[in-house]
Amino acid sequence: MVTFRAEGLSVRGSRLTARPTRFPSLKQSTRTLLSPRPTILLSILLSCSATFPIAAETSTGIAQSHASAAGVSEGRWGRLEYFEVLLEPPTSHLWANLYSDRSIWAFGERTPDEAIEHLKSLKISPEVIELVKTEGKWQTHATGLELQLSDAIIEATRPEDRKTLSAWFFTHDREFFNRLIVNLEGRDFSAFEGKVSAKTLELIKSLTFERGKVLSIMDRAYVIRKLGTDEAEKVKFLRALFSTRSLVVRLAIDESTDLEPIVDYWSRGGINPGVKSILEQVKLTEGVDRIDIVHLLPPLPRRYLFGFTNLLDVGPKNTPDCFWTSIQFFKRNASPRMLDPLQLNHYINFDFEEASGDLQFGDIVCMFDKTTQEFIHSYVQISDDIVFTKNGASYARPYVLGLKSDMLSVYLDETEYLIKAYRRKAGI
Amino acid sequence: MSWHFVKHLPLLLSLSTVTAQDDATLPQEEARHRIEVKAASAGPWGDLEYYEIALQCPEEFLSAIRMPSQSTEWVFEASNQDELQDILSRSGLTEKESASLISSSTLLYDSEIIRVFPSEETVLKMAPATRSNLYSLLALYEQNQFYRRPIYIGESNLSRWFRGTDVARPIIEDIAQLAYPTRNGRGFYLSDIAFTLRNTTNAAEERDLFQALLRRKALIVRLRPGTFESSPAIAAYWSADYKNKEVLPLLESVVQSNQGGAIDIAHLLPPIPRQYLNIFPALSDGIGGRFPDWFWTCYNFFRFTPRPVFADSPERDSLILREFTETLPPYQFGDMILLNSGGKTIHGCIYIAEEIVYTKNGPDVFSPWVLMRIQDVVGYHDRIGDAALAAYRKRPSP
Repeated sequence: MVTFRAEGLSVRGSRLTARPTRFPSLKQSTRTLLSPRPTILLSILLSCSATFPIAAETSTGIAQSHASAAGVSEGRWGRLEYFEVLLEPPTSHLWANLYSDRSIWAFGERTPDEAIEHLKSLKISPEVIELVKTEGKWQTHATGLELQLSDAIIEATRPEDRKTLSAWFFTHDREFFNRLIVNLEGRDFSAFEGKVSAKTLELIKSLTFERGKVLSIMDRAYVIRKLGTDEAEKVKFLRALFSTRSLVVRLAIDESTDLEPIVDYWSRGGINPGVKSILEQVKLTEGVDRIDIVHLLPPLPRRYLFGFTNLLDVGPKNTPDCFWTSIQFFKRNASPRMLDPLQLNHYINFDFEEASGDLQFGDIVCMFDKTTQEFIHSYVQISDDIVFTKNGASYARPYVLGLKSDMLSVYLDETEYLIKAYRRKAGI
Repeated sequence: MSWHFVKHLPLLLSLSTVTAQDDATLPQEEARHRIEVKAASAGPWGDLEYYEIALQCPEEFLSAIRMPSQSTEWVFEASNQDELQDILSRSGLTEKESASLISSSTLLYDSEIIRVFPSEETVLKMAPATRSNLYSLLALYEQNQFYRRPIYIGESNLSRWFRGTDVARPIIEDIAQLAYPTRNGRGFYLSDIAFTLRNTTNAAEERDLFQALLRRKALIVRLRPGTFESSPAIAAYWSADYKNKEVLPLLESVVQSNQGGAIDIAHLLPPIPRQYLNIFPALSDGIGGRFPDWFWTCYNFFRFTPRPVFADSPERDSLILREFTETLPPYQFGDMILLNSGGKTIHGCIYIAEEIVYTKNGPDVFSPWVLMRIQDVVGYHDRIGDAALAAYRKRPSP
């Protein structure tokens, strides 16, 4: 079994950001919406004990910094040529709470004194603790004790303090952790470059910290505060912060291309019809050397590709996320049933079988926390290095084709993963 | 907009002439054609280029077809030979033509109809104008399904039209004889589908022939986004007054990525048309009792969740009046183009850019959702030759 291993604590990527609060009908459901997918019963799923063998490969890819913006993926799927597009969420998908300039740490049921003692036990910098005593504002809400942070407290906080605190929040208040922490895709600042001012970029860099192989930021509110009345810069900052790397992918075909194995790969044994005639026509056409793979995708991923969550897809207690996106990949239309609180094996155990051999087009790859057996993330195999996914349930995260390495760059924290792949049965 | 003059385009060369040309090649022999990617006129949509593909219907659809006899059968609502002669005369056939047709055919009488079985020679040697008149008449009767909804051949080069298929030369030669020009002069119709079966020698060839005839032409269209400076205007066009605002993040990113490549406009369509582009209906599309037709396709173009409304729905006109505004050229992305003929609306499609529209040409399972040139859509539907276009623009959401 090959698993990922890194240092520190993990971020559950399917909940990278908090729920929007601008949609009143969803307010009362926040906890439910934020709660993780029902933890899969690994005792059931792991009855097939084989694990998916690509972990080492992807782990290696993650260790590298962001690759070039264009590339090639060649294999059983043919020759895929792609270039990167960086999708920023539209302003309509940036909910009001993202603009909050109130920096807080949450301490649950503790009293202020207990919270300070706890900070000491976590070995938070003494300077920070002294500032907390003198400048921190304690407030108790229904959700527990909150410490409102001054600029000085944040500026005194060291990267290792942030790492420690994020680990503690993750363990003790997952919902708060999910609202607070944002992981930077690709572990770099390229999403901000050319978008925000140099001054803002420097500020962002000063606040980021590493957790395993993930680069995170937990002081979004501080950045908003520092931007003062520059509303345009705030929008640029937030759009860049939640930007998602995606790919426009084309399948290259020329006169020498042997179409048969390529048609086999994309047709998935007839589950995905219509591929053959399109590819044959492209091959016959002078001056056309590639076809966008949007034409090779099943109807549902084609519908959602590059789009952001639409409210009409949202249920009262859940919203489309990575699993919703994966499990319906070959479906004609999205089913509201997929928003119900089902066990993950509800369909996996019946409509799918564990993938064997090389992964195929449309296989679902699921990532579980090896220790807790919690479902973390899922994506759909397009080629060995390109996936179809939606990183989390957030409205700010689109449905994308992306490099597996980019997708995993927000998941490879300290968590040790168990990877399993599932293949949809024919005729289902 | 050049396509407003579609009705006045000159007649194309006859198919038989074209297939007789020395450079005409057969599908089995041909490899690639010389020029296929075409550039559209530049406009507010940016620089478009497109090429044509043929979509094959799913194999399971073929097995659902009731294979006709290769004996041509024409059904007329007449009770005796005099009535039949009268009907034929009124259709534009001369007295000599009518008499010849009747005398060379086998007639079977039923209570209200006459079934006419013409000889092969009659079918094959009929003059194009006679065929056009007679088949327009046959199209009036429900029983003559291949005449009511003929195969539309949008070009004069049959070899190109059949490229990529296994259809044998004798069959293509038959089709070159049997196809007849549309009334509006754009393309050709083929109604003698059953007749073409005479040159098939086994079931596989029959299926290959029907698979080829039921292929549907579609366009793959690509946009070259151009410079960053021009991108706001292009983005404004494709976002259609924010009715299609979801496309903006992608367009913005493509321009900024500066890769210089073209982007398939499938990415710029709203979710529903993108979901259905270049696919045939499936069982699930008709699970409510109806398969989508042109009005379903047009009305739901900008919607996120489709509403089950159809061309014959009682609320159709009130929906158009309430949610659309009649508009004049220049048309915009997403405008609904209605084809009116014979005093009624016979079809509708969605304007995309330049001459390109998004259409579903029938409610049947053999009609996929495709991008086509408006000329071809008119040619496909305009049986009488009097089609006029009217356009309606979706009002912005309140």
